[in-house]
Amino acid sequence: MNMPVDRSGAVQSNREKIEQDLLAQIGKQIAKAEQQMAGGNRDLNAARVALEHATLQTALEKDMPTKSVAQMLEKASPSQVADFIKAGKRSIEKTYNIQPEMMVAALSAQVANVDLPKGFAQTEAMKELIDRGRSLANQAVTEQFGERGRFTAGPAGRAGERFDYVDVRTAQGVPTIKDQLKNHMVFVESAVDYAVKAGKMDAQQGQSLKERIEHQVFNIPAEGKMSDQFKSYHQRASQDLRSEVMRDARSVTQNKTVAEIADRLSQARQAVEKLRPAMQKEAHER
Amino acid sequence: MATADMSLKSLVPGTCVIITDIMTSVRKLCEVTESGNTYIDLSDDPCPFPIYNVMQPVAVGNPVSWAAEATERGAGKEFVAIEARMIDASVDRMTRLRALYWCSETGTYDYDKALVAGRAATDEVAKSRQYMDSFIRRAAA
Repeated sequence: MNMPVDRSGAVQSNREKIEQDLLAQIGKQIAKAEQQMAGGNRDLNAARVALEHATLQTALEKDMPTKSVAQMLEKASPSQVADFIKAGKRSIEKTYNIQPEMMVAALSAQVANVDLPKGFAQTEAMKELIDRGRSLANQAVTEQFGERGRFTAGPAGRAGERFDYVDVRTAQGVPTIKDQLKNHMVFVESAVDYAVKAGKMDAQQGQSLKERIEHQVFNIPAEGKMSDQFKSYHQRASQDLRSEVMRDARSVTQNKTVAEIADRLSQARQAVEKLRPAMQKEAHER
Repeated sequence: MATADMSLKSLVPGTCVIITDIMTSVRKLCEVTESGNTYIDLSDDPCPFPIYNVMQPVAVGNPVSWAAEATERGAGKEFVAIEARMIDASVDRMTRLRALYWCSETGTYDYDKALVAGRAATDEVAKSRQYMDSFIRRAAA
């Protein structure tokens, strides 16, 4: 007699593995971004900005090329160069009403009162996500342009119906570019949701960050050598793509299961943080 | 003595700008940061430098506009393939932007040539940074 195979245990364990992988990826991405926000050499960068400022100002005042000022500086003594940089710092403070270290920190989003969404958005970790999204969006719009005006049969079998925007057919089981883009944006939104749940930023900042990332993935800059007609086409195609992809992506991220995953990650990390002092004490006593 | 115009230009974050390097006078492609009035020119050492109006900054778009231009020229697939391949190969970000911009400017969509051009442009920027840092080290000595 054949007993029914209980696959529920195998399915559950597989699902848990997928959840763990997703959690690990999301957590890693946010941790990387945080590290990049906190890192950087503020003093060195402040000196660089001051040196550049002083070089430029001197060149303008003496009506000479900036490169020539730099070449003159090669012959200066170490103390003269140090004075030059200090003069640059004073000038920055006077011109922009801010100390160079604070200017660099503000520009690098390294202080608490700087716009957090901007700070996160300009880390290399987030830029990687934006670049990957942009690349997929570019591929999708380019493919769509290639398929434009193709004749295809309509839903009721009507031959000769013309569609301007046609989904590109791929081999069975191979995700389309749109699917890949949707999955990517699900990951991006989940990463930001995790950062909000982990207390890295509030809900409004999280929403603002999502909008910034989405804008950079789908928006075409005004500058470009394409014709006005083509630019208009591209803008329409990009916005249609954005609406479709983000609607599908949000239906996934707003699904309770994904929200539960992010919650559990957040709870696990908080539990570890609570135990940390006791663990450190125990380690010290050994 | 002439009055120095030290005003800053504001551009769209996440787009690229061509600007004159102050230390070497080389024209370089950089990326506008989230503040809008500073740029990054090296991925592995991202120091935000102000976009001074007097250094002739010119906004030149980004891979989205370059992909659109390539598509209108009939080379869209080649461009997006180069972009995807460079991302998969983890090409340094600023080098990748410079390589893709080279494709856009020359109308040549060749991965290897683009990469060589991108790396050469990044090397020039890296040399300028080393030159700048040599002054700072000397001042600290």
